[in-house]
Amino acid sequence: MRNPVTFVVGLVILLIFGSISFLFQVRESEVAFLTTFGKADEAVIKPGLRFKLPWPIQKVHRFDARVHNFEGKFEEAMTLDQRNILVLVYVGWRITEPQKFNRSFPGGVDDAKRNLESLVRSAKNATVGTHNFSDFINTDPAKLKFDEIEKEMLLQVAGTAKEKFGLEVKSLGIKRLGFPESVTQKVFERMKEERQRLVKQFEGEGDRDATKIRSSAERERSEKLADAEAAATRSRGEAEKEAAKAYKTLEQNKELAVFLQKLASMEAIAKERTTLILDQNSSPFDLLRSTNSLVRPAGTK
Amino acid sequence: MSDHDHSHGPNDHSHSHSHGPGPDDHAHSHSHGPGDAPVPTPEAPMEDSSTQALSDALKSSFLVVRVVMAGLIVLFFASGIFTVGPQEVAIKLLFGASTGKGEAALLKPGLHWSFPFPINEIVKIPKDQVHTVISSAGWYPVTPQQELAGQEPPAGATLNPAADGYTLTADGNIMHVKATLRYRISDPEAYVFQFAAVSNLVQNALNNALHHASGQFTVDKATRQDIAGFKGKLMTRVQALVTAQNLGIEFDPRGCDVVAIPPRQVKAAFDAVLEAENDKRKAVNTAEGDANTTRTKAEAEADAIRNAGRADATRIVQSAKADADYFLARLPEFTSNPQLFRDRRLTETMAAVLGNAQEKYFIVERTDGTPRELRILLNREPLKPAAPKQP
Repeated sequence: MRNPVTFVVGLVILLIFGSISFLFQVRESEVAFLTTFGKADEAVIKPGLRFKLPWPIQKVHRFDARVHNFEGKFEEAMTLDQRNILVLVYVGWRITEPQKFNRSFPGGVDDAKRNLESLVRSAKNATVGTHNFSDFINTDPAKLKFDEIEKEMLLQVAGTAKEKFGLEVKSLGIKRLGFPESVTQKVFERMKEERQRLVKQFEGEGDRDATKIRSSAERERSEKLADAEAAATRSRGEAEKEAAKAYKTLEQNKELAVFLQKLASMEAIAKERTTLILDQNSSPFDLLRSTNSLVRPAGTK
Repeated sequence: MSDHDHSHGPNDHSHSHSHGPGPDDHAHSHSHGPGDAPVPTPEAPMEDSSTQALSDALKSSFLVVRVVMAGLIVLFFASGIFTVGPQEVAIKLLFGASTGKGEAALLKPGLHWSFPFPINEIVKIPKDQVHTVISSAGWYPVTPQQELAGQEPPAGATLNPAADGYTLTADGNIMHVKATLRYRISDPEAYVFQFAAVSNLVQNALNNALHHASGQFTVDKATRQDIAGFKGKLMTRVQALVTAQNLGIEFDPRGCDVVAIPPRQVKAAFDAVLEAENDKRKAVNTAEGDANTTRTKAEAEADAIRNAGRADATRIVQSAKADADYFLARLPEFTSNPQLFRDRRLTETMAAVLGNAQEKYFIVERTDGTPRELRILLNREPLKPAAPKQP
């Protein structure tokens, strides 16, 4: 104890060695468990500073606890209505039970992925096989069963993954949907036919709509004209009624009225381009008759 | 990475620390080193002086060690100084565990200090940086060179599932869709500690949404008639997936792009439909123009008819009144001497009529009193209004 510095340094060294042997850290993104003489403890160790016995006795096994993205293969699956479609599924998984995971996959994550792939494939084939193609695509959103299909797959995958692999499958989704290559050509042909039909339909509709618009305008026209005619006739009728009142006056002397009317008619009729043939009895040419008769006495009368 | 470098720095330091005995030993050997030179001389006789020299050497080397140690300690603590950049936040871990929850756990941009690695660990997250993810499941393969040159690879007769991306539409057709999502990190803790690579999951959420939305839209609606609706559906789906999976990101659908096109293999057919639709629209427009003209004309014609009716009505009433007035005016004259009135008026009228007539024939009675026979030849053709007068 000659030198307190030596003592402090020694203490620090001891502390450091001690902490290295007896303490360990689990990071926020990890899960871990301890093995005591190779036998796994039950407890799943959460992030933080933890105690353990030194190396030959206890050993720490750490695993990445973050959610990883895993994708299966874009493979054919048969729907209930016997249609071959290609489905690719992705899952988000993470390790929740490291002991189980360690036991199942001594080869580590790659080993786990291989198993996950076959698990996903069988869940996919089983689920697709219970659904019609119309459950995957449908113009009626109510009939679309996209979510249900994903949920069914997830249930199957998640159950087994948790039970056997110590994995939590957090999410599962369809990444791709497709047709086998040979089918795409047929789809293109069908699409082309559809387009041609649409072209014809549009042409037909164009003619039809144009005719409809024109004829409706014509109809409106004749309605308007008819209305106008009716209105005109009505006003004429009312005028006649009004006129009739005035003509009542004429009843005071029918003879005069008729005479005046005749005069007016004659004047009106013989207005233009008229050829008149008159005999001497017509006034005022009856005057000529008297001259004639003045001449006549030499004759018969 | 820089963050890791940081934490490793102190680690190394602590190592040198933990090797405390190392430098100590070194110091010893060092002290021996300089000791070696003077030792040969005093080794045999002068023990006191050699001890003295040794203790002096030890003292001085201890001093050096102390200074070095103090320096190391200072370095150790100084290595805990770090900055958080303007677009970043940082999370401080204590022995690997997060030191807080939510906003409180986040270190804002600026200068900070923490214990070096084994105690504290600093994780920096580019929170305000905009990350871009492009869907990978709906488009045909375009190499970066082609994209730069604005070229497209030639379209084959079929789509190869291994290379060509596409989606299936609600009407069983095929189309290409590409979506670009721009997002920010909203929950840095979840972003770094919960997920190995958020961008992969975001991309797959986007891919999933492509198929989900396409499965509800016909190719016409998605590519032409209801582009906004299609985008909306897609974005809603992405949002739902992001929320359900707690990916710790946020995005504004308005800042995201969605492009949907029919397959290039059937482009000509789609163009023909567009053309037909345009023609249809044109035909309808022309018809509407015609219809408007017809309506306007009809309006005018109807007005004319109504006005004519009104004019007639006025005329009828007026002429009746005029006739009545005329009648009343003549009545006293007539009643006083009907015959005279008649003759006078008739003669007057005849004069007027005869004056107007173009042709006048006067047939004088035969002297023997028998009627004359008059034969009139009328043209078979009606007279033309402006034709010269017929004899």
